[in-house]
Amino acid sequence: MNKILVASYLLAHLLLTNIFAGEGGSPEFTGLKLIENSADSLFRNAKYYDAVTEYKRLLFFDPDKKNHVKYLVNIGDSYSFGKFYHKSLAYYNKALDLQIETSIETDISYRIYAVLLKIGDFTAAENLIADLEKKTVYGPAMDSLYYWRGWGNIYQYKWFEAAKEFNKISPGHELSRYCRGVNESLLSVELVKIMSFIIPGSGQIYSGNYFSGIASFGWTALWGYNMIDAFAENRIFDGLVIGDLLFLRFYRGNIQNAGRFAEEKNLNISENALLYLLSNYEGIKP
Amino acid sequence: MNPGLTFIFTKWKGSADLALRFWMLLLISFSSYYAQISAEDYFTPENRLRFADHLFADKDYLRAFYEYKEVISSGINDTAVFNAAYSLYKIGRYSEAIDYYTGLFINRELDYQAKIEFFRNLYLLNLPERFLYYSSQSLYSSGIEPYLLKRMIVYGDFIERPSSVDSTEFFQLFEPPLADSIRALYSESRSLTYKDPWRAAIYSAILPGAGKIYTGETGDGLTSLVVTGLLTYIAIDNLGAGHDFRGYLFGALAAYFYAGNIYGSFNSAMISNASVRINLKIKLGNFFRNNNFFLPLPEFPGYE
Repeated sequence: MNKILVASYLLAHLLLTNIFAGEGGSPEFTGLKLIENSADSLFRNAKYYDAVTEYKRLLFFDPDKKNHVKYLVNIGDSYSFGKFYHKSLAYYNKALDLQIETSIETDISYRIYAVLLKIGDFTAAENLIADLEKKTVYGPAMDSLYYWRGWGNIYQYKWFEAAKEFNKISPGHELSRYCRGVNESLLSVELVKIMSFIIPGSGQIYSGNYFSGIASFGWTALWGYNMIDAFAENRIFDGLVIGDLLFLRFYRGNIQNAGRFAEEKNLNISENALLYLLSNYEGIKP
Repeated sequence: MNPGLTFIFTKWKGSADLALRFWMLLLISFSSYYAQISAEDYFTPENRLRFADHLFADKDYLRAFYEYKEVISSGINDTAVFNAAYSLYKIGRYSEAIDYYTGLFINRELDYQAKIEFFRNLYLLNLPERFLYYSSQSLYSSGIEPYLLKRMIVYGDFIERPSSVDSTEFFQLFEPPLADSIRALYSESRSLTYKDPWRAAIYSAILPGAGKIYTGETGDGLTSLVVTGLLTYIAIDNLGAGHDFRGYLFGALAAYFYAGNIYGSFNSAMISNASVRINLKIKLGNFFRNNNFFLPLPEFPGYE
């Protein structure tokens, strides 16, 4: 019987404390915390549309401004993952407008830098990192600066410069080695042009365009022969017309083509190298 | 863990009957659940409406729409319905917007604005027959000034077939300053010059490149003249010198360029005409859109 009484007492006590914990405790805190947990979970699970909705709900309802930086940054990240880069920048800038610590400000600035790289606004990215450089004096922060500037160079396909920046962090940095490797695999556009200048078509063949190389050689040889033949037979006008309209057109085109093929090949190498890094590099990346 | 549950599971092991423990657990769980749901008051219709209005003002129309939709599902709120539809309009989901506006037609405070927006969205669906049909039905058009719909129809015709519009009736539908712009556009549509493709082809047949010059492509015309003339000269020169193969080769090239120049001139006139028509259509369409299809905007703040 005593046990039943004790149990009843405990039951009533527990019921009341639980109910009052809900109603009289801190409902705003509990409600907002639940929304925040939900938003964080959505964000972690890459459900960015819904995550943005919940973070915006928090921004609207949460009176405590100190949490707003996190919400704004996560909204910015979500938009960035969804490729809505301009919206992403707008939210990062809203976060920067709040009173925040320097370290957080720097972190957000690098996020902005990464978005600027993705949208190809390299001038703005350079200006931003130059501003950060003025404020940065100590070792680890400088490493971050070199690191992101290296990525900036990668996005601009300046592999040699990128390798130099990563090398400043530590000699033989893995990204430095990678960038150097990519740089070494690029063709020299000038060399390819000179090759085609000396032997028509050779530059194209060197850059892997065999058919174009053979065709260039054939056309230039054909019109060259015709031009010389015309001059040899004293048909000066024929020679000038063939030489100017056909031979020189093919010879000049052959040099330009060789340069264009080399540039295209370099672009292809750079694009693939960047894609490979973005998919396989496990460190921090834009 | 909840202290009540801790007690039941640890201190009270094997000392009371199962039924009692079961009921206690059930009640405690229920009370905990109640405590949680009583704290979550950010999803009430009122709060959702406030949040939706905030999103709407922030031009985040897709999210605003979904919040308004939740508000509507818990009870009809005319402003929420209107704003949900307006959000759909802003993100280009005109067909769905129309459905929402229709719900506000009978005995509702926003009846007039909803009908205006209904026709704006209907026009954007680009279904002229449906537009004509609904504009003749009083359920949809009653209360709207007839000239508003009439000028949308006439201006729509003007965009599609500028030459078919009766200018007297057309101008009467508009008042200054809109009327002045409409008159200017009308004059512009009448003063555009079109090129005759056959004339261009004949010109080029007589003198290579002349057709291209007629259609405004002077550079191309002169190039055609020089290339065709030069190839013809080389062909004749080679044939005269007894170089038959080269003569025929250049002759064939000259014929190819000559034929191409005639065909190109015909095409050039067609392209020029199409370009004139398309540019005019884009200009007229932009004017219509920039003036909100000559319909009034909702008369409360936040609409644009």
